[in-house]
Amino acid sequence: MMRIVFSVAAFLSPFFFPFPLALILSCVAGFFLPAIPLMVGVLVDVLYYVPEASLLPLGTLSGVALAVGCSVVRQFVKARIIT
Amino acid sequence: MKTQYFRKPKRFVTPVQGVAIAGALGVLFILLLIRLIVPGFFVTMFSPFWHLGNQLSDASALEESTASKLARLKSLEAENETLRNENRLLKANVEEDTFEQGIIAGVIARPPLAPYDVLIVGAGSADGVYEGMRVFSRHIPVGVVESVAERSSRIVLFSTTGKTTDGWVGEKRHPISLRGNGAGTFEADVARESGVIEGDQVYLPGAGSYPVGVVVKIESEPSSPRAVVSVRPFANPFTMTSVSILASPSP
Repeated sequence: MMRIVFSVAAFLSPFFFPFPLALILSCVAGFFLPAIPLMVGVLVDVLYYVPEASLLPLGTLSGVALAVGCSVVRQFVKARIIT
Repeated sequence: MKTQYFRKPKRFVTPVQGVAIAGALGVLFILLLIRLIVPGFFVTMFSPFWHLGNQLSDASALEESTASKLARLKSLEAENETLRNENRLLKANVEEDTFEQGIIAGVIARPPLAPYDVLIVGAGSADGVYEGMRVFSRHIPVGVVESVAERSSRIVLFSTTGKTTDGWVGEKRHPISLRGNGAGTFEADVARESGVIEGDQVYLPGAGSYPVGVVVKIESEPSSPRAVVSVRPFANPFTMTSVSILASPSP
């Protein structure tokens, strides 16, 4: 349930919430599904990326970074729980 | 018999996940399409939501600011009312002063150059001064005109030794006979039980009542029912530079 709620909130956040809140929601959702930050990042760039304003698609890059970070943390937490 | 088991190949994504990803990609594609057709669509549509928090905080700040401004407004209105009343009072006083200014006369001689408790002033019959006019120093009655020359007058102060003047003392306006004691001071006899205390003001009658001094000492004998009150005057005859001479016969 939490997974669904945070995932939906993360996907809706680029539409309705300011960037910092979208980042936090993506991060939280990333602990349940690591791919979510990446997808939210891509969504942000699809919606708002302007090549003239920024050379790099910062939304996607942030999403990748968050997804990797969340995966690492998730793996670490899983390993600790198993052992 | 060799047990065979088939290891189920682990799929990278399950069919459900595949459908979800395909759906998500489809949605992204549609959004991208909208973005390409109308570049500012999403920013225009959703930016008001991003600033909602700011607007709410601005509104609450505005509300607080309005409340404090209202309080300040009320305070300033009260202050204005006070100042208005004070202004009215001052205007009334100015009118009264103008009305009761009388003849302004410079003091030519005062004690100790003149005899004690006598003033010689530079206004006489030519200026409209006549005997019996009362004399004020800054709204404090000090004496009466005793004799008049053409350009000067002689004023005997109420504090002249032996001269008695009726007046009041204290907030209860206890009647007393002020007896001149010289050098601007007075004495008076009062009943011991009259309730007169040090610090009470002494008044002379006139248009209302004029404060002339303050009780500084009360002396009484244990066996006597009377007490002697010493009064220090508000107007010092040794430093008067000018006086106002008025026509009213009292005090």
